[in-house]
Amino acid sequence: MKLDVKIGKMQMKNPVMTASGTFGYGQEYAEFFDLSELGAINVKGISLNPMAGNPAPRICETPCGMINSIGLQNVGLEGFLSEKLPYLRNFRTNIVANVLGNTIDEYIEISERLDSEDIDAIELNVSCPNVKQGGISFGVDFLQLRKLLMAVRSVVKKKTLIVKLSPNVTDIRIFARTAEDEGADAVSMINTVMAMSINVKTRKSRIASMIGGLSGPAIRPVAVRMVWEVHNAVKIPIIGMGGIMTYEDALEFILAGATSVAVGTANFIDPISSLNIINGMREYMSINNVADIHDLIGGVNE
Amino acid sequence: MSRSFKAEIIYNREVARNIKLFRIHFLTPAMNPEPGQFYMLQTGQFYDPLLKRPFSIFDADLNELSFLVRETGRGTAILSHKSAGNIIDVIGPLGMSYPICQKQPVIIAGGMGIASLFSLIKRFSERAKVIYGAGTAQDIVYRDEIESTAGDLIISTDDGSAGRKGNVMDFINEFMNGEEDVTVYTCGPGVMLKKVAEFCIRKGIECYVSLEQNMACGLGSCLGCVVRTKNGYQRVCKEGPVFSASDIIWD
Ligand SMILES: Cc1cc2nc3c(=O)[nH]c(=O)nc-3n(C[C@H](O)[C@H](O)[C@H](O)COP(=O)(O)OP(=O)(O)OC[C@H]3O[C@@H](n4cnc5c(N)ncnc54)[C@H](O)[C@@H]3O)c2cc1C
Ligand SMILES: Cc1cc2nc3c(=O)[nH]c(=O)nc-3n(C[C@H](O)[C@H](O)[C@H](O)COP(=O)(O)O)c2cc1C
Ligand code: FES
Repeated sequence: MKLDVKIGKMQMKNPVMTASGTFGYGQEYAEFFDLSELGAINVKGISLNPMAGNPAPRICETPCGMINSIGLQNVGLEGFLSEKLPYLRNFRTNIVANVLGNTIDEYIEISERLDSEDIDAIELNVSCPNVKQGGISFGVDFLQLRKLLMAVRSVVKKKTLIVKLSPNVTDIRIFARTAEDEGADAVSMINTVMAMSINVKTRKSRIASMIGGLSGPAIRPVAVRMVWEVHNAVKIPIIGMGGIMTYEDALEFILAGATSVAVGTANFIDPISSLNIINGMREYMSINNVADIHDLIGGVNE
Repeated sequence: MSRSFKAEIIYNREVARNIKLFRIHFLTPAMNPEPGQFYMLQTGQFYDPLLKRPFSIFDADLNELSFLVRETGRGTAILSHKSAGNIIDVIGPLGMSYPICQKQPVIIAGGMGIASLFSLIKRFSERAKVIYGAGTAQDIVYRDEIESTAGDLIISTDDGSAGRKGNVMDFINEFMNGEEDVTVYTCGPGVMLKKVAEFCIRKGIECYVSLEQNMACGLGSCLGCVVRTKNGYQRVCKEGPVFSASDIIWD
């Protein structure tokens, strides 16, 4: 049975990775399972300098989902390389570095540096809805996105380059095509859906920064639809995510056209979710006589 | 031994107005908690409610854990209606416990704060001086046990229906002789914590507070549960829930 897939130059032993921002830098999960089982680990978004993040409350629960506005709190590029990466390298799995910047120059500086470090892929977070001057303008304006990708692609020479798409656009295919045209090796999708929840007793937003990003099963049908649309629009591989809790959910994305899947919010509810999903996929393939996971990619019947 | 396990509910019974004692026993080997630590308990089925809910360890014996659960919303309502034999997913023990200091312990519990402090009172037993304040007599739990365990106890209620009338701040001075030799441990509503913390900081008394914040993972990975401290934002689930009062930015 073949579960291995390739995203750009990155060879994954199975299609399952963790989603950025939902797995810390791996440490918190190593006590629950062997992280070497994962196809890849995607780390919390990395900025040039450490970021403090947003005031609390940063999260609230909504029907079958949650809204977050963490504000991209992270240890910064140097912190990641010196404190976090060496630990992650104890595991036999790929490391994807999720990158965010406030300006094109920042994206370039981080990406150029990471291109020569011991990681496997760079994922550009151009869609994070949280920080006012953050990724938002790149992820929802395809001309900005084009400019950014032209610049970053020219410095990312060795590593696989992934563009993480925002769902907060009218037609996500335009952004996927832009990524493909500018030489991205893959797209990952979707980032969180912009959302808001109000407590009617206090008449306040349930999170301090008023609006945030919705994740979890609530967004899954939206994400699956978008993956299917993008699968029909571009040739580069898709990393699908949005509310994946079980192996069935993961297979939905693969049937819609994703080559790889990422597990996000599920890590909060059950720390071994991603391992269960890998095992579940294997079992499904064996019961249904699927010899190669590639036989399922984009296999939804029309 | 894993901090993620399945547990069976042994019983779930009302111990005060709107408060249930929720006793579970683990089906797979689990670790022993320290006073002040907490667990994430599954409430919903099929991801609704989605997230687990945090609860302080109230009491622990061999293979068994108990929690005090006050019904305040959907998740706690579902938990309150679970019955013996139901199985739930649990993660814990999580977070930092109360540091056990050599000085005279003064334990100040406000309302549900007792859930977090009860096991600490048991740990200090007759050494503990306790102030336990609540709204009314109906909100007080385990009065007899606390009375027989602690060395000294002041019960207070806002309406005087049990113990003395007033709030914990009215009685805090009674246990403060030899201030430099006491350590205060406190848990309860935010307003009360702030008053206790400010009192202790003013007087130079060592003080530990247990804080609450909305949580998603309880493990330190989502960065959702932060509070502002002098060392920047810190996670209630990882660096806390117990913090030194002087580290917190109280505003
Ligand atoms: C470390 C810690 C220990 C706690 N110990 C206890 C305990 O021993 N007994 C007890 O009754 N309660 C305790 N709480 C509070 C308890 O977790 C909340 O009352 C509960 O999560 C509310 O869930 P709900 O679905 O009923 O309410 P809802 O208001 O419907 O919950 C909506 C969301 O907000 C979150 N939330 C709401 N209030 C709180 C709160 N005060 N703290 C954290 N998250 C909240 C919920 O987890 C949920 O994600 C503790 C909280 C923390 C952080
Ligand atoms: C708490 C939290 C933090 C996140 N942080 C990041 C981040 O730093 N960078 C990023 O590209 N996506 C981030 N995301 C988005 C996730 O990687 C993922 O795209 C999204 O949550 C949808 O998947 P899910 O429903 O399985 O969680 C974050 C999501 C959550 C819930
Ligand atoms: S609840 Fe996720 S970091 Fe504390």
